[in-house]
Amino acid sequence: MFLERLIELTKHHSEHCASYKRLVGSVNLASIKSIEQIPFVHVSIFKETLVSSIDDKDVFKTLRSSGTAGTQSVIKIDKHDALKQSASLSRLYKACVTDSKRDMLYIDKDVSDIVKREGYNARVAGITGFGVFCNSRASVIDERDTVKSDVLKSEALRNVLLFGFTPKLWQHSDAILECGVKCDDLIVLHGGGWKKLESLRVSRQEFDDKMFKLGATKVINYFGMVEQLGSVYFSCKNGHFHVRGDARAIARDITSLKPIENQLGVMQFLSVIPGSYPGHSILTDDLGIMHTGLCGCGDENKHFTIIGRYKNAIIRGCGNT
Amino acid sequence: MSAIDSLETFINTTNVTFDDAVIGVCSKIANELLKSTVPELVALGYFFRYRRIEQFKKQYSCQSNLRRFPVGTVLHYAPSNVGTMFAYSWMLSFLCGNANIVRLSKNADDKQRLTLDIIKKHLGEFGSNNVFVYATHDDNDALAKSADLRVLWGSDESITNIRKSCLRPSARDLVFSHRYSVAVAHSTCIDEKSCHKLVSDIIAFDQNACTCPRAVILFDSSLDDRLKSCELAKGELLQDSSHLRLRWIQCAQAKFDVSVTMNDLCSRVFVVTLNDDCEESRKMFKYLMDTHPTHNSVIKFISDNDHASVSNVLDRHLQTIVDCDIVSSSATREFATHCNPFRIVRPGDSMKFDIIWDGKDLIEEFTNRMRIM
Repeated sequence: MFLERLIELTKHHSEHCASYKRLVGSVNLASIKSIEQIPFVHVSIFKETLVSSIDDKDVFKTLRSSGTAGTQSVIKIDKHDALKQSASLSRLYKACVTDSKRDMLYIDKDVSDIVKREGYNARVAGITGFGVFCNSRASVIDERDTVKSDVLKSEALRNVLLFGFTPKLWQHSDAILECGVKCDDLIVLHGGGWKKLESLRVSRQEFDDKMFKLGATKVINYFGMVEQLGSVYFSCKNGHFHVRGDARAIARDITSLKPIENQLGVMQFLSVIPGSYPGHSILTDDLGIMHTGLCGCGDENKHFTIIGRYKNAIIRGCGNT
Repeated sequence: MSAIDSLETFINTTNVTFDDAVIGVCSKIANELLKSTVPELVALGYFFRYRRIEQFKKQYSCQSNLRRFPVGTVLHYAPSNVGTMFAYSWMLSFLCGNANIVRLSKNADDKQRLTLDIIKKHLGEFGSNNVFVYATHDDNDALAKSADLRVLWGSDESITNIRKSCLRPSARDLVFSHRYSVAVAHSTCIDEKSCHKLVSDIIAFDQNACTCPRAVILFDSSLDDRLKSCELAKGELLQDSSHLRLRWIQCAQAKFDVSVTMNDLCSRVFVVTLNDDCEESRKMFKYLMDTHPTHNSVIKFISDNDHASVSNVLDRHLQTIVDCDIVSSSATREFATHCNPFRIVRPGDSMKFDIIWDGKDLIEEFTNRMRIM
C-alpha cells in the first residue's frame, strides 16, 4: 500500500510539475517493485527553484527552511497537505512524546516576533506545529535574549513540555536551572543544531544529563525537515530515530547510491504526505546509519542514527542559532 | 609566528632582473624538484630548468634601448586549488629581481608544503627579501601597505575581499580570478590516445584547477559515440561522490528547461543538448560551470548549431579551450574568434603553465621598463 501510494505520487508530480518531470521523465513506473526503486530528488532543488505541483490559487501556506547556508528552501502547500501534516504529526507526537495535553514553554523569542523578522521558518513551524498539542504556549526568552524567570516560575504550570532548538536549550540551560521550572512533570523536546553543539564540544550524553538536571523525566530529540513536514522522527532512550507512520528512511552508499544497512550512508526519506510538491522521496546531505535488528528500547520499527552532514555539502541548519 | 611578525625580518631590497646569483638559486631549486616523485613538482622543476631561464633572459633582454628593472615588492596571494601554483608566480617574480611576500593558503594540499621546503632549502641570503607567510584576511591591510604589485590568484569572492585593502597610490593589482575551461571537438577524427589525454586533463587536480575542462562541446551529435571511450568511469579516481554530482545536475535540471541524459545515477558524464533559446542555454551553462562540484564530472554539450550561437553561452570567464581535433585545428580556431579564450591547447596540455597567463605576460608584469632615448 505504501509503495503503491509512492508510485501514485511519482506519477502525479510528473504530470503536474514540469521540473520534476525533467528529473524523473525516463523512469518506468511499472517496473518499480520496491520503495528503494522510487526515484528521488536531492533536497537542494527546493533551494534552487520553486518546485510545485499546485496552482497559485490553491496555495494555503508557504514554508521556508531556516536557510543557515544563505538560501532557503521554499515549499508551497495546499490545505489538504496542511491537514495531512497536522494529522500525521499528531499521531506521531501522541505515540512518541506524550498523549496528555501539556503547557509548552519554548526556548525562543515570541513566535510573532520571529515571524515578523524571519517569516514562517523551521523554528516557527516547530513551535506552532507541536504547540497545537498543548494547552498553552509561552515564550521563555525576552527581547534581550535572557530567560524570563516569571514564566518559568508561574504557579499555573502543571505538566510542562520544554521545547526548543538544541543549541538554544543548551545556551539557556544554566539560567533555567537557576530559576527552576515550577511543574510536576517535565518533558524536554528538542531538535536541530547538533553541528553547533559539537563545535561547543557538547556530547549528546552531556546534553541529556543537563536536561535531567532541570528535572526532565524524558528527553526526546526530533529529526525532521521543512521539505517533508509532518514526517518527524523522534529519538528513543537509546538515541535512535524510529520510522513510523507515513514515512520510510533509506541509507545509500555515497559512491554507488545503493541502499546499505549498518554502514554510514547518505539518508533518503520517503513520505506519502506531500501532494502539493514532489517531496515524497528526498535524498538529503545528512549522513546516517540504517540499523538492522531490534533496538534495545523495544520499539520494533526500523531505526536509524544521524551522524552529521556530508563534508562538502552546503551547511544547512534548521535552528538559525 | 603571525604573518606580520614574519614581515619584521623582511627586507624590501630588489636584485637585478635575471641576476646570475638568482638564476643559480632557481636552477638548484629546479634540479631538486626534478628529482621528486610528485608529477606536479617535476612539472614545476621542468618549467624552471636552467635552459628555459636562459631563454627567458635572452628573450626579454634583447633590445639595446630598453632595460628591465624590478617593480619592487611583489605580494602574491597563492590559490588553494593547485598547491604548486604559488611557486610559478613567486619564481618568475624572483627572477625578475623583485622582493617577494607570498601569502600561502592554509587550505592547500601537501604539494605546497613539499615545494616550499625545497625553495627554503636553497634560498640562502635571498631569504631576507623573499618571505612566505600563512596569513588570515585580518592581515590584508598590513600586507597591502608593503606592496608595489599585488598578485591575486583566487576565487572572485576571495579577490573582492582582498581588494578591500587598499594599496599605495603607485601600486597596482595583477588579478587571476575565477575561470573555467572547455574542450571542443568538431570532427570524428579523434583517436583513443587523444581521448585518454583529454580524460587526464579533465581529472587533474580533482578538477579544482581552472584549466581542467568542465565541459566538452561536440559540434556533431555523431561524435558522442566516438567519445564513449572517454567515459570517466574507470575507477581510477581517488575522491568520488555520486551524491554531489547528482545534487549538481538535479538542481540544474529543476532550474532550467533543458534535457539531460545520463547512463545511471552514478554517471560522471552528463549529456546536455543546447536548445535554441540562447538565453536559457547561457544561464544554464553559467550555472553548471559556477556550481560544478569538482568531483570528476563533465558535461557533454551536443549542438548542431553554428559557432556563433554556441559561443554565446560562453562568457568572459572562459580560460582555455582544449582542441580535440587532431587533423585540423582551423574549425576550433574559427570557434575561438567568437568566444576569445586565453589559450587553445592540445589534449594533455591543459595543465601546462606558460609565462603568458590569462592573457598577461608575467615577465612584463613583474618588471618595469627603462627606455633609453
